[in-house]
Amino acid sequence: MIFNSIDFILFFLVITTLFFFSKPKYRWTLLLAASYFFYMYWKWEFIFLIIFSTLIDYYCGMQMSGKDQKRERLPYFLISLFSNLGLLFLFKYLDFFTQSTNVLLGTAIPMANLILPMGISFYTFQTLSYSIEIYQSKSKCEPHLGKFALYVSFFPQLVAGPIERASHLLPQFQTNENRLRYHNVVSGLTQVVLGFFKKVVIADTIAIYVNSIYGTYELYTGFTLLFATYLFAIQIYCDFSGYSDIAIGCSRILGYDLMENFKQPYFSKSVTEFWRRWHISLSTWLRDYLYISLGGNRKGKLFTYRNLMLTMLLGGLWHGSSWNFVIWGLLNGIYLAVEKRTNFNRWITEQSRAIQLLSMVMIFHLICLTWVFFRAETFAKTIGILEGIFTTEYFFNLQIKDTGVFATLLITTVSFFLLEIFILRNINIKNLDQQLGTWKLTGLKVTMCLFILLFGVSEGSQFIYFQF
Amino acid sequence: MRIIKYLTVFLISLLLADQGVNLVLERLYAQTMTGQSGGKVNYLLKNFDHLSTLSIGNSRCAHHVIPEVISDQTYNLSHNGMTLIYHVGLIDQLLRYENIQIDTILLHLEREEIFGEKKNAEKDIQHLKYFYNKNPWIQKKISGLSRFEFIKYFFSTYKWNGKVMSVVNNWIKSQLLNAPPPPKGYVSNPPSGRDSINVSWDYQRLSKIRGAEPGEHLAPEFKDNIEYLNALCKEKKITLICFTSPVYQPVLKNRNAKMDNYFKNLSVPFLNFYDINDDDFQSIWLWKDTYHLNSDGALLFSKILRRDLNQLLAEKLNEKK
Repeated sequence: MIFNSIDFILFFLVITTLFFFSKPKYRWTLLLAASYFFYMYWKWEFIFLIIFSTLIDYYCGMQMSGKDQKRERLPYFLISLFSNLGLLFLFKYLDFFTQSTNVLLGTAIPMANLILPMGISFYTFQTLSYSIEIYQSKSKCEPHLGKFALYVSFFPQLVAGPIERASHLLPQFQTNENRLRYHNVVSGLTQVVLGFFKKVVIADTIAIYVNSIYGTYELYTGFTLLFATYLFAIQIYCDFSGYSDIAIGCSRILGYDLMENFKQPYFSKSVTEFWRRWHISLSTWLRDYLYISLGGNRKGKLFTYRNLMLTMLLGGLWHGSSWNFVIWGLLNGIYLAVEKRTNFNRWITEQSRAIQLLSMVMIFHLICLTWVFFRAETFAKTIGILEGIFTTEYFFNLQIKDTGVFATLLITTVSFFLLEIFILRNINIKNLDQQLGTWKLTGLKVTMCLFILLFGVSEGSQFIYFQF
Repeated sequence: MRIIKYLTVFLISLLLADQGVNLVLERLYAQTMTGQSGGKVNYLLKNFDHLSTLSIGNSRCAHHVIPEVISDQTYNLSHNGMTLIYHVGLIDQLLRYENIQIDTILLHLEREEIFGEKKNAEKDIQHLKYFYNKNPWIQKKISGLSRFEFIKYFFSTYKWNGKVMSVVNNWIKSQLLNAPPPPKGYVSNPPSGRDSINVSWDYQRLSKIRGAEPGEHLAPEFKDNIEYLNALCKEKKITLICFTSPVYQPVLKNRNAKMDNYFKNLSVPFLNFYDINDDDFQSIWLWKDTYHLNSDGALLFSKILRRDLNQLLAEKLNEKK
């Protein structure tokens, strides 16, 4: 089930109503059933993967909890690690490695052509975080299988995050005190409406333009391709953060708190800062479980750069099984290593506002360069697009295509950035009702709803991050 | 209690805003006389109560058929990028619910839609959202797109979804700038110096795609729609004539027999100009791109269409006698 569908809205209304009318003790049952239904709505067969993952990690967690020595916990940790990563490898990377082997060695190993289960990278990382935390004795194991299953499959964040930590989400399923609270409903609803606005009004409208330009990139040069890339940067931000907003908002209405996933990333003055504001749940996951496990910055400069590059490279591979994602990760790794080497991140905070603004623009362009690798399906296409961007002939010949779509995307994107600059940058969305007051907030929400009705792309296209 | 109060206030505000915006857009729409978001239809209904021929189709029809060449009482009601289901919906609305008499409908078709090569063609009905609550056929087709589609129409403004900018833009053109609507719906494509370059470029780019054969069978959705339209025209005593128009350097020459047989069985005259055997249409100077004739090409094509159309109508008249 996708969020931007009437099916989901009805589903959520029914579940919320049942949730608050049911006995608090049994609410986890309702949420677990709802989460499985939510996932099975797409392809019922793949629920067995989630159940398999749940059972393995539950078993390993229980086994590890009784052992005091790390050495004793290790075998169970490895079982969890290999079974989760094995599933991920089988469904996501097997064909990539087969294809690469065939190209490199001239072999003809047949491809498995398996369907990629929706959200597999997200729930695999979520369950892994549970095993890692227990292995490192940072969390206690969850003895209740049902509640643990709910932690793995909690429907608002099941297919595209935020990737929650066991220590943050699991304790919330233990309490039976979730009441329908005014503040939760008002701020949750605001965040849900904002999420829909970002997704169906901005991201999906921009997608029409970007798809048409990137789909036939050979026909365009210079500013048209560059403009499409700028727009893709906005599209992917609104698409993904829109999903996170809906997930966080829905959870808050039910009384659960999910971690923040985006903090206006395009206002970053350095790439390091960008990664502290973009897909926070993944970047902190990579930092805590990969970068620090590799040694972080504790083993000298060279190792620090290596660790940064490796972390970002694996972060790239997490997104997708193609060389483009590897390069995307590598580029980000290089940016971070260079910033570390030059101490840019600290330097920029001491500069004047004008220089900081200039840096913001520069960082946006550096990130846009990586988005070309992210968006173009193949390496050849990426090169073609980059060549096109740097072609000076007819550079300023901007192709507008459909004027209606173009005007809509300009108006809605500008409105959104004004909203970000003047409201969301200064006030946390959780506190909007207290800061703005009921009437202003209602006005804002009604306006966003009208934008959704008038400008929203109503065909319910998938979120970009569902494929990861 | 506080939550219920808040949600009620929010919903009431939303419904009021929804009605208000809808009212404003209805006013703007009614005053629009140009453009494809209602302007063409409004202009037709305001200026004609009788048409000898209504030509309808996609952008190729809009650019290829010059109404004045066909007859004085011809109007070109084509809409860019739209497929058969859209045209059938619009004709249904005109014939059943608007005050206009039509003798002949000249329906432009594409081979791709006949053989179901055009993906998601049925979704074009969504561009007639405006008529959702006015036309049961359109409502049925739109509702058929997804299970809960009807819920969206609980809000009046949803019928303007995706059209607001065009409505406002066309209203400004009609009312503030006094821009004249295209003569009888025809959108002229005057020749320019870059045409031949565009055509060559387009031909090279599309040669791979155009080399592919279309599907084996006529698309079931196409058959449903054309048969519904045929029945409607019979009911209203209107002559329905289908036609295809030429493309630059056609590659697909098969399947003509299949189309001819189908229309013959349906007793609908079919004029197939896709691979018209006329050297003139192979001249690069008559084209804007490989699919669209410029106004010189359109003039030549409209004359041929008129000739064949008159011949066909004369034959029909003789049959009746």
